[in-house]
Amino acid sequence: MVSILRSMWLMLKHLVVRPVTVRYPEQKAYIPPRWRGRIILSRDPDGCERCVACYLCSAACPADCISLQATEDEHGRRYAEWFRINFSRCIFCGFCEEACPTYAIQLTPDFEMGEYDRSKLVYEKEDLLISGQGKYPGYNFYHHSGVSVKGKPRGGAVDETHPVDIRSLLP
Amino acid sequence: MPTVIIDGIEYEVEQGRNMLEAVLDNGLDLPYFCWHPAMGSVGACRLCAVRLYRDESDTQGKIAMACMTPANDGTRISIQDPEATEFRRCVVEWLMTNHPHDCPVCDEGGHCHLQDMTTMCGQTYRRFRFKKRTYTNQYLGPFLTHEMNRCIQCYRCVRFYRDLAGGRDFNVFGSRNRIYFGRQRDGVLESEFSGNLAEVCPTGVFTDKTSARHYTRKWDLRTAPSVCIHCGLGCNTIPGSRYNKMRRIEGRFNGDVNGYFLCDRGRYGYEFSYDTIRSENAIDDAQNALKEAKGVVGIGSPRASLESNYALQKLVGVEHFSAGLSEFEQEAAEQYLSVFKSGTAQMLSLAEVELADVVVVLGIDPTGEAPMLDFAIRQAMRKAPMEVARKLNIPDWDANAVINALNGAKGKLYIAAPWSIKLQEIATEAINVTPANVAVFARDISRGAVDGLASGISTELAKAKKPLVVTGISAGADTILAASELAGSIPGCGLFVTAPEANTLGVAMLGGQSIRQAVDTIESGQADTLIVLENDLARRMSSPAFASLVENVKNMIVLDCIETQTTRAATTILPVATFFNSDGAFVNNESRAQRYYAVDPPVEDIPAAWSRIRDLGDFTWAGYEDILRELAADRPEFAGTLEAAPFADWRSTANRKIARETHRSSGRTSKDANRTMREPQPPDDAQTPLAFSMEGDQNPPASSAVIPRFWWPGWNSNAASNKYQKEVGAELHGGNPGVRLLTASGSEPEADRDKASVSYPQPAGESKEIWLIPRPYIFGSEELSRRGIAIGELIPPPEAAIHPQSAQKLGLTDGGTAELDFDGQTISLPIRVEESVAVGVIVVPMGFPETYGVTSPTVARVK
Ligand code: SF4
Ligand code: SF4
Ligand code: SF4
Ligand code: SF4
Ligand code: FES
Repeated sequence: MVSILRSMWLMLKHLVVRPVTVRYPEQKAYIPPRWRGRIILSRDPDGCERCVACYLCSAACPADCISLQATEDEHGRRYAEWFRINFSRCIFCGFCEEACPTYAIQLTPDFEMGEYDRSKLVYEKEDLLISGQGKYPGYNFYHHSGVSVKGKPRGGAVDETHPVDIRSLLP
Repeated sequence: MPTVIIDGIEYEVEQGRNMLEAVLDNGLDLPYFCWHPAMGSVGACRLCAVRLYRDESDTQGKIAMACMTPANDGTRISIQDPEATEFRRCVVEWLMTNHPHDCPVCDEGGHCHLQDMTTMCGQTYRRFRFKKRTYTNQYLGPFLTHEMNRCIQCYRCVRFYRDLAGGRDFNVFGSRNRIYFGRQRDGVLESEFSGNLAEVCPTGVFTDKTSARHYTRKWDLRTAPSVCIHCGLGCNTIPGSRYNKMRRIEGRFNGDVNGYFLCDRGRYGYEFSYDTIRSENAIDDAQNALKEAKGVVGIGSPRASLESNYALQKLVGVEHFSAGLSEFEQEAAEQYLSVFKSGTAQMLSLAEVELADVVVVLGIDPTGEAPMLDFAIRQAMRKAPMEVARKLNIPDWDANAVINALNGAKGKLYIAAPWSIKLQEIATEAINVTPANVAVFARDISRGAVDGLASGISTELAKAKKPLVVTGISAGADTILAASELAGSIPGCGLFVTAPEANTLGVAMLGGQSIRQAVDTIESGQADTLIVLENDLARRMSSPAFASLVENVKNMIVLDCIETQTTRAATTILPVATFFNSDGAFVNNESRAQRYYAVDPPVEDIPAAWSRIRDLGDFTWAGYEDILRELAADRPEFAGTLEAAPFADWRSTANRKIARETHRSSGRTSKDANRTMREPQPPDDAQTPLAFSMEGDQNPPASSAVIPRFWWPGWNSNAASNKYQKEVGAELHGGNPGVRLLTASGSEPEADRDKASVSYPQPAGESKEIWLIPRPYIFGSEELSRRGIAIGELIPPPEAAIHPQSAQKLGLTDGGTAELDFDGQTISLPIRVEESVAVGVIVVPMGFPETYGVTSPTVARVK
């Protein structure tokens, strides 16, 4: 008896509370910015590709779904010649983002990636690269690293002195 | 054996070790930077700090450098001591104050000794908040990149380059915290061993420039135990590939052959694999041609595996098989084999060369022909006066003290060669004479010439503890015979004979005709079909002879992986897998049979040469090991090849195959996703005990011949080889790989003196005639490596060098053109007049397209 009354009460209560269901896809749900969805490759504040092709994301990935090839431009800047994520394998764990030393690879709140054909879930660099900085604005790896690239000479990084004069004998 | 106490536990160590070695020998970990097993200790980096106690009752102890502490009986240290541990962490922290934020873009990352040691010391966070010192870099040539910001001032590079490799154009400059390791000014590093800097430097200051073009981390490389294909010494290598493309080569420690190091030809020659031949599968044409053939002749190759050569020998029959050596090489190789078997002299391994104290080099240029022999001779000369230091109670590993005690003393090196070879810079005395006179000179020494250089050398050889005579197949049969007589005339004297190519001795042992005889068979009409196995005949015979062969043969079936003059002249080309895509055995110059394993499966179904030959004939071999077994049964002297490395059914102690890929190999589900979503099964390797994938045993294998890489938890760099050795820097667990095939039987060398002395043509004394001598260059003379991009940049210009005296006599001038007539062909080259060549010879680069046809010392007429 008591249980029937309780069930009735619960049911009637729902006639007056607001439904949690949203009318997706017409209506979009709120997704927090740190949601782990579709992965992108971002650019640094100067608009250059952030990824330096260090292979750390691919090593960290438990699904082994990232592969890439490093190459260099004529000024010695490392970048990815090609970069591929197989989203049909990705488990959206975010390890890649955590491993990335340059904030290049980022997970985004976009989860709408459904496809009828699995091969369409294979994203190449062109599909991954966005034109902005994503979640982490302001960071430029090459301004902290010791290597020189176009626009950043030797000793030009943050917290670096000018190259020493090795021929100086001053104490 | 002294017993030492480490953290309260007793360990036995070999006599004469230091405490760092004692620790590592016993499988314990202790961080270090400046010590290197091949270079000893200098105590520069202060990282190997331990607490050293006087005796059992001493509880206080003091911080000491393990690498500078002799491992005497009862030496007591603590590695785990908190203060010592903190000391080591601080050392790394100080070194890191200037270290750049480079790991993601540093090619050392992932196999970096600095990363490993930093982690091992527990230094995980940078506290230093001030500015970092920076340097400018130098251009050092096509092999190495220079990134000086990463330097931790351990001095290994300069010690390797100057003290071991004998280079002079690299040093340490500057003062205080500005010291700089580099050249006086930008330029190509002169040493032939510069590539080792990438392995010797514990950081990313020096990294492999060729691999930077297509960089891959060590954890992603697919690696296999291999042997260098670029000369006859058979240095052990670890080639690495990714996405089925070769990325780099590193040394594979073999205590009997190359130790830790490689020459630059061996390290960078791999780039030839980008330039391979692609053509239609013409196996049907070849089979039809063979069916219709009226006699088939097979020419093998010293750069093809023993299996492929033997398969060809079986296909065409011994009487129609040629080892693929030029007549000169064939004769010299046969002479060498007979000398070897006679036991007149003791045949040394490359590692044993390093122990000699008096060395006589006869008629060869080790630097150009077998570069690591140059390195070994330099080590011998460096170590020879070690007794001086020992008398002063200085242990061998105390590198700086030894250098001071020796005060520039060196072993004695005597050289007789047709041109001034690079080793002459450290030679006691050297003469430059014609090849025939090298042999005469050798005989003068052994027959006890009364005065002059020869008599001096014979006195020194007699006094020596470990005398050694060095010559090579390229010096010719007569010189080999003379060298063996010389070595035989001195008690305890060793003999070391180089072979020009990776398998020269292997094919010579297989036996057969010389190329000339094979060609005669064709030209006389006894056969009309020729099968050429991975051999460019244009390099081994004069151009007219090659042209006439091409004209006379009806069918020329050529198996090769690269495009050559021979493949261009072929009627049928059968592309075969490259060295990096096939398995096999090579026999090195000291008859050591060594197995190399494919790094990658065959590309585009291009099979290994042996299986092509199987398909041409009526054979049932399932794998190359069937061929080897048949060979060993057929020819007992090859029985050792079966022991050289394990076969396909071998399994590790965990009953698994050995994985060519690391346990952290990445991208498995993505690398093929652009082609297929099926994630193809990793290619199976039925031929070997190794797997092409990461599935298999990752532990050091019980058999040292199948070590695919050196890796150990916490030791990602090649320093992990510590864990693979019985005693660090000495033998590998399971013995050093390779089995020597030949033993001395005590029979007299079959020396046909008359024949031997005619092996050198004599200039008729006519004024326009001169000796024409091919000179091997480290870069450019070897067929495969010269196709490499980086090596290609360093090939010297083709020039003919001649002594001023001879030039004057022949009316040749510096910068002019020499037109040389020989064997019915003419070559013309720019002339360089210089004192460094012998009088009466004209020296041209060996194996350059401009000098094809110059296969051996010959007589040329100057037009
Ligand atoms: S989110 Fe996880 S599974 Fe997906 S690519 Fe990154 S590391 Fe791999
Ligand atoms: S971890 Fe970051 S920088 Fe490194 S390869 Fe991946 S995306 Fe590029
Ligand atoms: S360049 Fe490398 S090997 Fe040389 S001192 Fe610096 S860290 Fe040591
Ligand atoms: S010495 Fe010869 S075998 Fe050794 S690495 Fe050099 S080319 Fe290869
Ligand atoms: S390894 Fe002992 S001080 Fe450097």
